[in-house]
Amino acid sequence: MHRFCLLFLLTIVACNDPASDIGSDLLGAGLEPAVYPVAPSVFAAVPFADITGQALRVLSGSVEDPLLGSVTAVGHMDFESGFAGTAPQITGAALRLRRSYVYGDTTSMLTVAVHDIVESWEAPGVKADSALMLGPEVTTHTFLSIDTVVVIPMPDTWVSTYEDTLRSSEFNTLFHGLALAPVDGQAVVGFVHEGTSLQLHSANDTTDFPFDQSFTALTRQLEPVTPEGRVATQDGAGPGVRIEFDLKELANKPTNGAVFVIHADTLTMQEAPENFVRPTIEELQLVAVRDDDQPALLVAQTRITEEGIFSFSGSDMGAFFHRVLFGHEEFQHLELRVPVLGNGINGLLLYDGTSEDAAPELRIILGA
Amino acid sequence: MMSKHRLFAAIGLLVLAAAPAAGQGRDDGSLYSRYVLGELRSFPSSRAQAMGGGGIALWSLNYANYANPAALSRQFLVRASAGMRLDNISTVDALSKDKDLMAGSFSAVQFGLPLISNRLGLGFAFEPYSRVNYKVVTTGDLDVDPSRDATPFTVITQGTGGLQQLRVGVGVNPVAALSVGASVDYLFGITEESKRTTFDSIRLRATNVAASTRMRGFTITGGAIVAIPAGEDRELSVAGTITLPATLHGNYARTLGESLDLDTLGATMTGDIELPVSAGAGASFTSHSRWTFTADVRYEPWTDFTSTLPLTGYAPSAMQDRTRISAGVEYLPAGSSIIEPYHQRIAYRLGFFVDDAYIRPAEGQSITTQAVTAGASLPTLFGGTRLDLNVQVGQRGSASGILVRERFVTISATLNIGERWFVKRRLG
Repeated sequence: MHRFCLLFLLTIVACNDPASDIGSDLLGAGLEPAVYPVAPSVFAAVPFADITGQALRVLSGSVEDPLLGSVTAVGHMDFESGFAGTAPQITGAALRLRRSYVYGDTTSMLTVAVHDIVESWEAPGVKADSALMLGPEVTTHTFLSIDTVVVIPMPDTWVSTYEDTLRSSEFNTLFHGLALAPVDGQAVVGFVHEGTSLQLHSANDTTDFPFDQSFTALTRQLEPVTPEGRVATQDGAGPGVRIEFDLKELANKPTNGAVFVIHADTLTMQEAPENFVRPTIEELQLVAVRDDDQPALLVAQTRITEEGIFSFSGSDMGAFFHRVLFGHEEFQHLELRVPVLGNGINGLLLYDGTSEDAAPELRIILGA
Repeated sequence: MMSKHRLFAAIGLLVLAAAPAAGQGRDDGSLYSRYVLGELRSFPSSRAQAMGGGGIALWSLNYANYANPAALSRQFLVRASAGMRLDNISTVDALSKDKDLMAGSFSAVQFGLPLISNRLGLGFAFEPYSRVNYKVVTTGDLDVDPSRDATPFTVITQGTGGLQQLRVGVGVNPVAALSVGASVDYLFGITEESKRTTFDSIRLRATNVAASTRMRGFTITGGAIVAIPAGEDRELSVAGTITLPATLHGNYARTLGESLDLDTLGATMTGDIELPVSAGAGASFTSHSRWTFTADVRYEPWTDFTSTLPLTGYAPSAMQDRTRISAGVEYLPAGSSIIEPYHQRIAYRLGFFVDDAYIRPAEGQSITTQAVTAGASLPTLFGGTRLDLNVQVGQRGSASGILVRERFVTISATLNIGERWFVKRRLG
């Protein structure tokens, strides 16, 4: 009998057949997850200044874009000493710049003025609307906007003025760098750190003072002229795009994920004057802007598809909106931003909420 | 005689063994158990179970009968019983899709104590009142992101739990023909429905939303049996019981878990659940301890049921009055003799029942359970102790519209232990 009882118990514990969808009709609706679309209550251009301090590029130039308005860029560069041991007597100096970026008229001749930076500064975190104190114009130089390498000879008077500083072991502290301010031209060009240097010539040698830090000050003169139903955004100088959602209806709902879809007007972006290059923003970040003293929270980052769609998704995005719906996330609003490292003034036109087929839409995936 | 320690050890073993079986959330039972409080269960005794499950007027020296507290008056031995059951359910829907499910659970743990032999007795029982146990898996594709293909998903909807009842009863035989009794029944338990949603994509998180209702409350059952001698060693018994309406106090909460911090979805609700009265009547006839016939009817006006809590599947329009009719017969070849060959001391039982469920998921369509019951009661080396093996074969519902038809086979085993306690041995 004991054996029988044991066998019976084991039978009960061991039995487990897989279930199926039989009976789903009996259980009624609500057995499947659903996509709940939410249109932004705010999707508008707002002033924005990107962080350009210590970006991979430093920009200089001025451009007037018939679509995205006009922007002026002043590049600031600081160098570190290249001398090891006793510095030789300096016979000449030149600013050697390696270009990697152009926005505007590729046939335009650019004239830039070189200024001394006369105050100490630290590049990390500096925004594009900041300004540094500059000295009087040192020299000017004209070059073609698509020149790969630009060499700006520094005048002898500047060399003699700064020779002691340039040869000093305290160079990194005493010297604050040079600024490139646009004088004339219809393009903004960008120079990469690698290959850019302050070259000092001596009787027998040339010494490169490599890039130490950079910062680009961007100023907008004319606002974008956007077609109806579009919102313009531009890297660096802005405008940015402010986004808000009314999610009260979804409060405390179980969330499996969230996808935010926006459509770019790539055709209008391609309508540019002859020889005018207008790079398009290809990667965007969706960030949550919190209190002023807190850094923005990166919610999601995505690249544009061949169809011109930015689709923000991912587990972090789902977790963010889960926290939002449960009141565990406090922020002021969402913004679209361009990743900081690729400094430029690339632009983008986005369809706003008035578009029938391409309006921005947040899709909240609600569990069964 | 088995010592008291061994008796308690045997009961304890069965309870411990039954507990995990009852808690097997992986197993699946009736889809109709999803509604309101779940599938109603009753276990008057393993003897009554094999005779259709009624037994309101059923007497026995070998069983304490909890269908009617008045039956507790006629006890001669201290009795303990515990059992478990195994349900195999074949479900088919209107599209002829089918599946086989299996679930194990415990039947009851019961204890009977004669205070005055065959005149005054106590009874304690712990048994299920209802059981929720089902699982439905839904699969499909969800168009989440226009830049990607549709994402496959799986939703597992699962119900678990049920109400248990703890009963303490007393039965007394004040005059020769009449026994009366009453029990206090404490109902408690949790029912839970969970929906676990998963995706074939790491971009989407899994969620598990559970709605659980915790309930508790008291009711009282009263009963009476009139035993009428009907000739030599024959007896006709007529009985009735009534269980008073009960108010269960409950808490309802929805929670969210699974790869996310556990959150309560909305405020926890408290409310009351009003159970209807339950009335039963039955009759039994015993001849020479060999033949026993029983027939019962139970009526419960579940249209009076109300709940201020959002019980799963509950809607006033979906409730209907429950009627359960059962009948059965027992044949014990040896009668009361204990010296007959073993096979003649085995009791053979047969019965049936028809039970209209208290819920009606589809308008105008009752869920009726019809089943044939049978069993064999095997005597053991210990006098008064029997192992009962029962089987139920039946079907529930119909495969039409949204409904499903469930054909079930239930096998159960119950160990009934009886010993003489508190009785001084006398010489001569």
